[in-house]
Amino acid sequence: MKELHKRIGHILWVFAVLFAIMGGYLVYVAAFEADDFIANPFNARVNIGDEGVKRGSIYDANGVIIVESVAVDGAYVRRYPLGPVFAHTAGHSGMSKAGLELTRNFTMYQLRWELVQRARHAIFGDELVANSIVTTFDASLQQMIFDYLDGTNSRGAVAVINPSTGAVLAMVSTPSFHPEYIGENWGELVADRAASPLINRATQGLYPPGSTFKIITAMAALEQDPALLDFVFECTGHATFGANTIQCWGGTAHGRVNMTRAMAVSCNGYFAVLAEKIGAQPIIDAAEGVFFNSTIPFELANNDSQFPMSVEPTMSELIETAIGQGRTTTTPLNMAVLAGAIANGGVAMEPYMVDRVINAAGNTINATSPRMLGRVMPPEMSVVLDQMLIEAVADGTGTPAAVAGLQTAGKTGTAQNETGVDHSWFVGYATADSPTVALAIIIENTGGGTRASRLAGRIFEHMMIDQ
Amino acid sequence: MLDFMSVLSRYYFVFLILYFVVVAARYIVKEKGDGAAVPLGQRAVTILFVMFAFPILALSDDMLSVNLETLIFGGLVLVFVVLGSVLKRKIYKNICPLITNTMFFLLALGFVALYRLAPDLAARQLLFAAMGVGASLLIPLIFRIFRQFERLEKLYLTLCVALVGVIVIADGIGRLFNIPIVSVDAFGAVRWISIAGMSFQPSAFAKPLFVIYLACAFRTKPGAGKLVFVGTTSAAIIGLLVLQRDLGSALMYFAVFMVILYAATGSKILLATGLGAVSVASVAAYQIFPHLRIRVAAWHNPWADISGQGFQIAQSLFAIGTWGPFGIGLGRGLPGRIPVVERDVIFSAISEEFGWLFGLLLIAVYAMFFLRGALMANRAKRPLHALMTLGFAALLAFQAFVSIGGNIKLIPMTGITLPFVSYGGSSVFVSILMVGVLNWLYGQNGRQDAVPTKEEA
Repeated sequence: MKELHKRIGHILWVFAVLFAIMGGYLVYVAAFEADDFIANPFNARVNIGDEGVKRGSIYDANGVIIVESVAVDGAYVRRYPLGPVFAHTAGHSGMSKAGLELTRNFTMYQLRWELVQRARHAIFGDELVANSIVTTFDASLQQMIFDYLDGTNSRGAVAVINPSTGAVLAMVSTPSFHPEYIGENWGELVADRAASPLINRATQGLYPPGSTFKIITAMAALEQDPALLDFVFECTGHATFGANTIQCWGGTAHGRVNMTRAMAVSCNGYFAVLAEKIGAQPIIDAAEGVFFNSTIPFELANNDSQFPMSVEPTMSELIETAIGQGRTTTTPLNMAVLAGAIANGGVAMEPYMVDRVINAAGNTINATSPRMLGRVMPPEMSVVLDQMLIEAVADGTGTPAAVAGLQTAGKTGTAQNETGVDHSWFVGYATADSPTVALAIIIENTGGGTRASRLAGRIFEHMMIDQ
Repeated sequence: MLDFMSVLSRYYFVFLILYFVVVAARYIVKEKGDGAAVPLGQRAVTILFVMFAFPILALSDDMLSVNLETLIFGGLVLVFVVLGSVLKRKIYKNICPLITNTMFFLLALGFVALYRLAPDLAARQLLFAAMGVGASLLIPLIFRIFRQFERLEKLYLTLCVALVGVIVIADGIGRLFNIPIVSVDAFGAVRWISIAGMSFQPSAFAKPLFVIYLACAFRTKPGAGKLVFVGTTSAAIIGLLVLQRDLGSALMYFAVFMVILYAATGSKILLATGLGAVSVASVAAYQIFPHLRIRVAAWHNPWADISGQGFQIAQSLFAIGTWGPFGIGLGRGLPGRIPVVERDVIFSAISEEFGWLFGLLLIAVYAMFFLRGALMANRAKRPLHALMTLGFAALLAFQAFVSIGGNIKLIPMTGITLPFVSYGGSSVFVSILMVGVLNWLYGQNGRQDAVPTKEEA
């Protein structure tokens, strides 16, 4: 019997461990993991609001109201004073929810000191006011960008981040819609497949990167051999690779160019030759190193940039991919993160939109700390790329992004696409010596040209000079 | 005002179950020492729980009217709890107050959770629970008649195989003549036999027989031949369950087999052999049965197929995770969105409205139940009684583990009921009987000096 008692003791331990694991896992799921999965359209609980509670507001970084709840005839109604400007980011709340209205739904129903508030409500009739969200957005910048795109009826997207933190300063997608009337206009909005106003182009739009991809080809080459920076190529306006020919834009002959000069003038021949020299693998590594084929963690639905080129591509695929054509596609958010990494000495920061949660009295309940996505290049390489991108704006294809009195950096792009009318890209940052703004801009079907670069200049000016 | 009360009630319910757990822990420790311990106030917790929960369910949203039916049902639950505890004390020689209190607390929690989801199911459950308590009052008498019940080892085995096997046969007959005798659950497991509108789950009744069979077989140190025989027959029973796709039950039978085998022999070789055999069998089953692969996939990443296979587990996680440690408050959540919630996912429904902290303490209640059961086994004078006590306690505790573990995505969901809480007539009836046997065994082996449980009201 004594042996039996000892064995029962062993079994007791096994069960104790099983139950401890179960309890620990429950706490892990419910207390730590839940925030990441409860804001799901399949969770019907996001649509049951406490009607007696004044739902929290969404503010920009300077306290400008983006969304608020207003009492109308004794019931709270959601108001969006800036209309379509924040439709894709702050989102909407009604029969369905999206954007921050979905992801922070439960936060904006949470009552700080709930028991006290409920008691005061029951006794004195005080309003029940839930926690609010302070975002990283600059509403005036967002408005300016929106007006620029919407005013010209352009389809396009802009992502602006702070390179040293990842804070999203602006994120615009056009065409947009008014969140307050989404219910009435739903059928129309969904039916408009061509314009797809409900899509957030900044995170979900997958575009060919065009010449902005040359940044990644340059990274691949420099990673392979830093001496390639001084590799010189004689551009005659076109270059031939067996049966394939690559044309420079408009057939322009750029003459003798090194990598910096080739980047500045966006010489297709140079980067095609570079790709031929280094082969496919370094380019695959470089693209995947800057988050192609992987997910950038972000609060809103975002698509992964696609880099489908295989290890052994055909010559035509290799050289086309190297200059940003081929089958590669990317999102403006991804390109903004890349620009931010170069500006930030090679370290990419995780993009985020919510700076802090505040209670009804305005006191911070919790604040977001910036997080690193990872080092995507050594600091020396970021310095070299910095020089190239400065030259591209100072004396290259990016000159429309130049702002008097500021040193700005960036790369233009012209993305050929299935519509036949090219998109216009700009990816860059300012100021070059102490960057506070990194951005990616795409404007659809401009037929190439300089519109994206000009908008970039306006944004730099707004951020550095107007304020 | 109702809002305020509803919010307040969330803290109140957590306090009640916390008190219950603390008393249980104190009782177990004290009783192990000097023996003069009483789990003071546990019955009061159950009564207070019922007395607050049903009025909250009965109040309408505007607080202007009260649903009388709900209050009457609450009253019936109260009568059941009080009368049941009193009768058990009267009939049994000596009962463990902690085991008994825990059973009635869990049953009461189940009635509240079920009434909130589907009042008619709660009513049926109450009926089965009353039948269970009634039947368990006969247990001392039955054991008095069959004094040497351990000699009927082969009978238990035969009955057990018959009960587990009957559903396979019934399924075959049903298919042959195209009559609906057996019903299939959400996981494709065939579990119920329906005759004349009444359905019951034979494998639920086989469970205690399996434990008794193993305890009888291993009451003396088994020789090699006996080990092979018991091992083979047990494997056959588990195999029959796998054939019915009732993998949760198969897992439970296996766990109980291992527990009793190890307690009886202490052989590490047998332990390793058993675990090895089940590992090989699991891998084989995974290769053979497509439904098993689907279920494992749904467990591994429910979000990938959230509208299909992952739906139930995702809804279960939403229920647990959405409202925080104190829940949304009784009657205010959406537990009904979880498929088969009242039978298979009741833990998540409770956690949604009472909070995950309440859920965590509920896990502690089951842990205390097992701890107490194991200590009772330790006190038994005969190996037979020790193995039976241990087997029943392990069976119920492991069932709670498989059920809750599936609900919280620790392990794949298998559609196993949470003992005493989930809806299921056969399950609740048999579980109450098992506690009856535990209490009878306790009476046979209790301290001679123990005061026959003069507990507080």
